[in-house]
Amino acid sequence: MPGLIYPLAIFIALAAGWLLMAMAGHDAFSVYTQAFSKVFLSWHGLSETLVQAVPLGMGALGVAMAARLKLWNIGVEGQFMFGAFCATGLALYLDTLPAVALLPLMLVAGFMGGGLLAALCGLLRARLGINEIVTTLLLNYVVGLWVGYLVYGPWQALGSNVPETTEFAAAAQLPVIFPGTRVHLGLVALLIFAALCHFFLNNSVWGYRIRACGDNPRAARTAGIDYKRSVLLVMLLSGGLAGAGGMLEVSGAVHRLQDGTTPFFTMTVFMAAWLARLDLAGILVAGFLLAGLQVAGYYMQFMGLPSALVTVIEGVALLSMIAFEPLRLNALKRAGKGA
Amino acid sequence: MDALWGLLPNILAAGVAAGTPVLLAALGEIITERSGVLNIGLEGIMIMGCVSAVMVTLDLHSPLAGLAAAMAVGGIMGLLHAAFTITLKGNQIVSGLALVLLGSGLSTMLGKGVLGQPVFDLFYPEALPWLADLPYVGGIFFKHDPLTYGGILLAPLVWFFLQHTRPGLLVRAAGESPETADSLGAPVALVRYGAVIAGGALAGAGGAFLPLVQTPSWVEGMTSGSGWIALAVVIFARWDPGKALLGAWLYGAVQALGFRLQAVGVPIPSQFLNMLPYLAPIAVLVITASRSRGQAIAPRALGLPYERESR
Amino acid sequence: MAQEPTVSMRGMRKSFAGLMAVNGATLKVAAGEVHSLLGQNGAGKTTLMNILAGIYRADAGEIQVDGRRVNIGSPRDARSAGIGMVHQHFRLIPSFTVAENLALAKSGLLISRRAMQRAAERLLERYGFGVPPAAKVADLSVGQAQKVEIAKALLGGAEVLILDEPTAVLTPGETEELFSLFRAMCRQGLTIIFITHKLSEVLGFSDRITVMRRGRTVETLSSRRAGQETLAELMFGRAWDAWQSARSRKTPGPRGERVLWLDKVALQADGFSCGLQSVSLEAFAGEITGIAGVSGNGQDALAELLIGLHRPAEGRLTLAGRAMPQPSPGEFIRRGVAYVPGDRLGQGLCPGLGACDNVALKRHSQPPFARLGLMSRQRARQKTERIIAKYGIKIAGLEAPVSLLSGGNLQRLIIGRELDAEVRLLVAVNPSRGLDIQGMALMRSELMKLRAAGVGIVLISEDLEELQAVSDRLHVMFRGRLSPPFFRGDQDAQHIGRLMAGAGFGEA
Repeated sequence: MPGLIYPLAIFIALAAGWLLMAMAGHDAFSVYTQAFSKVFLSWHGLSETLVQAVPLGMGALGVAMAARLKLWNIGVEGQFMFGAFCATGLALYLDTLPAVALLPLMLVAGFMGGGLLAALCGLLRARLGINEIVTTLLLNYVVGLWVGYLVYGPWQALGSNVPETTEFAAAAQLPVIFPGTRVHLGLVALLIFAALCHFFLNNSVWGYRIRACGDNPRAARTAGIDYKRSVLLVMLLSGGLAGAGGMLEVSGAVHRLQDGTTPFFTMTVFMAAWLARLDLAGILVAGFLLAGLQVAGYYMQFMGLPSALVTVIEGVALLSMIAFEPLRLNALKRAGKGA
Repeated sequence: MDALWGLLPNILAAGVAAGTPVLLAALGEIITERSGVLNIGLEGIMIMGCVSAVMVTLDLHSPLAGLAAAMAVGGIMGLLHAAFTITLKGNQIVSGLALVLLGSGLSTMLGKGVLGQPVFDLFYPEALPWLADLPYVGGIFFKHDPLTYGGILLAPLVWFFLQHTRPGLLVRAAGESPETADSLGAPVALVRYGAVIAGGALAGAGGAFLPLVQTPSWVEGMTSGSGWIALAVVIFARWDPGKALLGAWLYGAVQALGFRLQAVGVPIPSQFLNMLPYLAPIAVLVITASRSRGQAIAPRALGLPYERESR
Repeated sequence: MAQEPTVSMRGMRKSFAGLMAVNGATLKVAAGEVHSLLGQNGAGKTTLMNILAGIYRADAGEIQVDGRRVNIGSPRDARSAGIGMVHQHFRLIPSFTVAENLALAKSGLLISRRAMQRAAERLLERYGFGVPPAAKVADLSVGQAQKVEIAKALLGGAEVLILDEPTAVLTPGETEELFSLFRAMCRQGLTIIFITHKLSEVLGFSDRITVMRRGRTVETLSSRRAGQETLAELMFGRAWDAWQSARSRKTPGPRGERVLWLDKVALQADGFSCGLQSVSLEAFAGEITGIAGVSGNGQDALAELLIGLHRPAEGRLTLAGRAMPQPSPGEFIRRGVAYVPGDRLGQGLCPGLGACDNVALKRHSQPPFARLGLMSRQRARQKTERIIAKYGIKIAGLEAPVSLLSGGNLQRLIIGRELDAEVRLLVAVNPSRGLDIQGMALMRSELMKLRAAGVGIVLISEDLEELQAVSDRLHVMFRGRLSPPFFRGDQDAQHIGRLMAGAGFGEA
C-alpha cells in the first residue's frame, strides 16, 4: 500500500509536535483535539481553511509547474508578493473602474508580475546556466524589501502608522461566495487554475513539450523542441500562478497590501507540491490539509503555543516523507509487477 | 562622494568581518558539494547555530562554548541531511528545504526564552601585533575578532585539505565519480557523511558569528538569507575555497556599504540599500557566468545519490 | 604452464529485477594464462566478472582463489584476494591527473604532489606504458587511459587481471600493442581474464577460451583445439544461421539523387567533444554510407550535425538539394531526416514518459498527433499500437514509462517511430550495439529494406565487420576529420584499420 506512508508521515510529525509540547509542559492531546475540532469540525474553522488554501494552492501549482521541467522555483513567495504588488497598483490607481473590468485586470497584472519576475530567473538559467534555486530565492528578499518600502512610504494609508495600504475600493475586492464567511471567489479561481494546468500539461502541444523537456532535455532537443524556450515558458507560468495567487490574496482576503507575508510560505507551498508528487488534484488536497494546519497554528497561538510549532511539524512531516520514499517506491514496484 | 572615499577602508574592514558568516558556511558547503552532496539547508542550519550559540553562551558565559554548541548542532543537522540523502537516498533539495523549515521552526521555539536578552560574553576584535600597524591593509584585515581570523585561515586550510591530503582526495573522488572511488574500495558513503557533517558544523559556526560578534542577542530570523547567499558564493567561487574568500568579502563589503550609507544619511530609502546584499550575488553570478560559459566545473556527481548495484 | 586453477567459480547465479543475468556459470582459470571469456552481448560475461571483482554480490555460487574459498562482497575484498578489473567504461576521474588517479588506490594521510608524481612515473615505466603522470586523464587518448586503468589495477596488487572488452575502443594497431603487453605481463606472473564478443581476437591471443551463452558457461576449450566455426556455434547456438542469411541478402537499390552533401564543413570543438574539420561527405538515395572510426573521434558531432543540432562554423550543408544555412532539428525532421541515436535512452527517448508520448515526440505538433495546438491522445495511441504490432515490441502498457523496456525493445520502438513517416535520409549510430541476435538481424533487414526503397542512409558504427557487410561506400573518421570514401570492393580491412589509427590523415 504505497498510500500508507502519508498517514504515517503525518503521525510521526504529530508525534514530534507532541514531544515538543510535552517538553514545554502543554497537554498535547487536548491541544490536538481542540485544534482539530476547531479547524475541521466548525464552520468558521473550515471556512478559514478554505481561505488559506487559496494562496497555498496557487503557490503549490506554481512550484509543481516548474518542477515538471525539473526546475526548482523556490521564489514563489517573492513572486506571490510581486503579483500582489502589481494588483494593488491597479486597485489603488484605477479604483474608478467597475469590478468586472478591474478584477480581471488585476488578475492579469498579478499573473504577469509574478510570471515576469520568475521568467527573469528562467532567462538567467536558460542563457547563462545560473542556478534558479539561488536567484529565485534571493529575489524573495528583494521583493519583500520593495513591498516594505511601499507600505512604509508612498503607498502607506494616509494618517496611519501601520505598514499597509488603505483598504481597496469595493470594486477591487473579490466577492465572498459563502455569506457569513471570508471564503471568496478566489477559491473558484484556484479550482479553475488547477483544471487549466491539468489540461495544459496533458492536452496541449506546449504542455507536451514541457513534459518531454522535463523528462529528457537532450531527447527533446533532438526532436526539435526548444529547451530554452520551454524553460522561459514554464518559469513564466510558474511565477504567474504564484503572482495570481498574490492577487487573489490581497483582493479576496486581506483587501490591502501589507508588509510581510505568511512566514515560510515558500516551504509550505513546496511541501504541498512534494506531498502530492506534483499530481495536480493531489496538490489541492495537500494544500487544503496544510491550510488546515496553518489555521490550527493560529488557534494554537491563542492557546499560548508558539506558531513555530506548526513549522516544526511541517518540517518533520517533510523529512518523514523523504524517509519513506524508498518504501513507497518498493511498494509501487511490487504493485507494478503484480499488474 | 569624498566622504565615501574616506570611509572606504572602514567599509572594507567592516566587509571582511560581515562576510565571515557567509564565508564559513560557504567553505563548509564547498566540502559538502565537493563530495557530491548538495545541502541547500544552510539557512536552517545557520539559524540553529545562532540560537544554540546564544543559549549556551548565556548559560556558560563563554563564547567558545557557544561556538562549540553551534558547531555541534550544525553537525547534527548535517548528519540528518546525510542520513536522509546518502543512506535513504532521498531528494537532496527537498531534504535541504526540510532542514530550513525545521531550523526556522525549532529556533523560534527554542529561542523564546532568550529572545532579546543581551549576550555579554562575545568574541571581541583584537588587533594583531605588528600586522595591524601595516598601512591601509592592517586596518582592513588585522583588527578583527577571532572568528573572522578563523574564517580567513580556514580558506587555505580547506584548499590544502582538498588538494593535498588523502581524505581530501577521497572527498573529491566521491564527488567526481563515486563509482570509481568505490571500485577502489574507498568508503564513499562514509566520506560523504564526513563531508556533510563537516559542512553542517561550519555552517553552524557561521550562524554563531551573528550573535557572538555582530548583533549580541537572539533575534528571530536573524540570518536573513545568509545561508542562501553562501550557496550563491559557492557557485560564484566555482567550488574553490580561495575564491569563496573573495565572494564572501564582496558580499560583506556591499552589506557594509549599505549600512554606512544609511548611517551618513544618504537620501536613499533604507529598503533599497538593504536590497544590495541580495542583488549583488545575482549580479556577480551574471557577470562571471557570461564570461566562462560551457565549462564543466561543478563536481560531476553533485546531487546524485550513489548506489552500487544500480546497473 | 601451471595447471592448478588460480580462480575457480562454481554454480554462479545472479539476477537483476527478476531477470537472470548469470544462471549457473562455472569457470576455472589457471595461473599465468590468458583466458578469454567469449559470448555475444548480454551473455552474462560482464556480470560474472563483476561478481568476481566484487561489484555485484552473487545470489548463489562458490568462488575459490588459489584453492581457498573466498567471500567477495566488495571491490576491497576482491583486491585483497588479488583480483583487479579494468572496466569497459573506465573507472578513472577525468578531471584528475594520472598521478592523482593512481594515488587514489594507495593509503596514507598527506600527499606530496611530487612524491605522488614520482611514484606514478615509476609504475608506468616499469610496464613500459609511456603515459605522462602529470597529464589530466581527460586529455589522454583512449589507449593511454586504458593503460592508466591497467596500472591502477596492478597498483592494487592484482595478480589476476580482468579486462572487459578492452579492444572495443582501440584501433587495430593499439589492439596489437595491448596484446603484446598482455604477453609481457603474463611472463611476469600475471593471470589475465579477457572478456570479448569478437571471435577473431580470441584465437590469436588466448591460451584457453570459455564460451558463455544466456547466462551459462557452455564450454572451456584450448585455443589450439578450437576453430572459428566451433566457437561461433557455441556462442550463438542456432541463431547463427539466421544471422548469416541476413548478411548475405544484399540487393543494391537504384542509386538516386544526392540527399546529403557536406562541403568542407567545420564545427567548433566544445567541452569534451571533438569538433569537425573540413569534413566532406555525400550520401545518395538507395545507398548506405558507412562511417568507421574509434569512438570519440567526432562521430557524435557529425551525427548531430546531420540532424540539424549544430550550425556549421564553416562550409556548407545541403539537404536534398537545398542549402541549409540555419539548420534546426525541427526543420530537418520536416525534410525527412530520421535518426537512430547511439544513446537510446539518452537521446532517442524520454525514459519517464510512456510509449505513446515517445512515439509522438518527433512530430508532436503536427497532425495526426496534434491539431490547433491540442494533442490527440487517441491518434497517438492508434499509431503506437500499430508500431508495437509491426515490430513485435514487448510492452507492459502504452502509458508505462519506457525505461522499463529492454534494450532491444527500446531500439525497436525508436526504429518504429523514425520509420513511421516519409524518410529521405536515415542517420543511424551504432544501431545494433547491445542487441541480441534477433535484434541485429531485424536491424540489418530494416536497413536493407530502406536502402531498396531509395532512402539515403548514413551508418556511423564502431563495428567494422557490420560496416563492411552493408555499406556501399565507407569513410573513416579520425580526430574530427573524414577520409575520402572507399567503395564496395576496395574496402580493405587492414588499410581501413591503419586509417582508424590516424595514419594517412595529413595535417591538411
